[in-house]
Amino acid sequence: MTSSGQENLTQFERANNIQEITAADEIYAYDASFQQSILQTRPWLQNPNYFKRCKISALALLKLVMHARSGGTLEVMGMLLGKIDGENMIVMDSFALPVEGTETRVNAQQEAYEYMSSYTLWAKEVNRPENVIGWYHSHPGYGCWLSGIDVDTQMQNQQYQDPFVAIVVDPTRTISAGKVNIGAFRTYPKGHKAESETIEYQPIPLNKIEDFGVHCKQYYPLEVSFFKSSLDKRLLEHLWNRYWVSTLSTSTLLTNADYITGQISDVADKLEQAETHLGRTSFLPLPEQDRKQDDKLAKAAKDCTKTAVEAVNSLMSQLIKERLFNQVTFQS
Amino acid sequence: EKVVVHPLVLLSVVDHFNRMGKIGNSQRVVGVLLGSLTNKILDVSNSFALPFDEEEKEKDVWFLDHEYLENMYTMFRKVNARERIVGWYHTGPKLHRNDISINELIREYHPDSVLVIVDAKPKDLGLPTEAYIAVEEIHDDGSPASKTFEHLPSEIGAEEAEEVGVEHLLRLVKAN
Repeated sequence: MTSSGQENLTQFERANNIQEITAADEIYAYDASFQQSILQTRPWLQNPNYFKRCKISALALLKLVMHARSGGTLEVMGMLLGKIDGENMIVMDSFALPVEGTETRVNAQQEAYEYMSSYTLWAKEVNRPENVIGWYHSHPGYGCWLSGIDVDTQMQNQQYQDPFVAIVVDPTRTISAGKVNIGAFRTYPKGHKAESETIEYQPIPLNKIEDFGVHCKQYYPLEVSFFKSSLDKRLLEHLWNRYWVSTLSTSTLLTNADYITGQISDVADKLEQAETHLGRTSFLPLPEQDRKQDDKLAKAAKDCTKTAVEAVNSLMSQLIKERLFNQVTFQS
Repeated sequence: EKVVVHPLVLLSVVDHFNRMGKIGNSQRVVGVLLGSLTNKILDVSNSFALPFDEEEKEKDVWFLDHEYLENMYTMFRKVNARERIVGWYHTGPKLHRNDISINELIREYHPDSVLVIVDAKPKDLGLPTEAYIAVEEIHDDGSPASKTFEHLPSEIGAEEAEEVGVEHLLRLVKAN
């Protein structure tokens, strides 16, 4: 295109307020017949590792994090609305469910099913044609993984409601680490096990570590990414100018004091356990036993490092802020 | 009184506007605002969209689904009882003549209903929200009091969890 042609084009675009439909916005289009055809063929039945990625919209991300946070130390759960695109599972929106989460029972009951179907139906009236594509729940303070009950629930879901994804979010660690702690998982059918450890290492409290270890090979994580529309992008750019003040002024040490204390006491317990293990060895240590003990100690060391790094980061940022804003003087 | 709007609400509104835009009609979208009032500060923490229609030519003809409103509100209350209806929103970008009458409808649920206009396509830098509250205006010449909208100071505020989420998204924006 010649330069004058280009000029004319830009003028034309500006005059007619043309919005470029970027690739980012195409993801918002919903093609019902395409979705139906995918549901007919069901390519995931052949390959248990079929779905590789999970894309979450900006809106869904904020809703997930806010809902999880509002539960405090109680688990919360909800449903995800979205669609499929090849090997990607796309989450467009989410909604909370009015169910009581206890340590051992985050199960939807009759009322929740009604809520679920009503919400999905009414969402269509305000132009959200997507269907339920998964569920989410929170693990406040103990990381993103599937517990034994979660694995059972998800296996059932994948049997009867596939395609289905399980998302776990940890609001406490999100705040303390300063980045969103979230994971998306799919279980393997009964009998199939992962070849190697696929779940990313994260410190897990002692009282949960057994539950984690027993089931960690029965599911695999999907690669999580986020997307936003061009309108979202503009809005966020506007927010940027207002936001930096509140971001700078928060102190994670204060908000997460309880959680940090819990982490420290958990590391202390783990060290004690490692110690008793060491004490039990005979005078002729077998090389295998040695490796196992190292494992325990090494893991405890890793957990300790993580907590320490987070605490040091928060302290450092507090000090830097104090220096920068309270002690710098202008020299005339 | 001051109105604090959470980024989640902003994103929900923009997302709703984005969806409706697909049909090719760029009319405004309308929805309900949920939140709580503490110490004269109105905290708007959540929202949901409403099926809304209005005549292009006759601005006085409009339709808002009451039943939908009540059903959705009941559902949202089950999840978080502390969130009450505090007002409504639309994407403007300016005030419309029938806004007063729509406001009256929402006032049945909350007498001090607040209208927040969210500009989904902000042209200049600055806050994309404007908050208004209806006040009775008494005319000096004895004609019956009419209602107009008075501007309320508004700002964006968030809880820590929300902030982390938004920061994450902002970083994506800067990186692209």
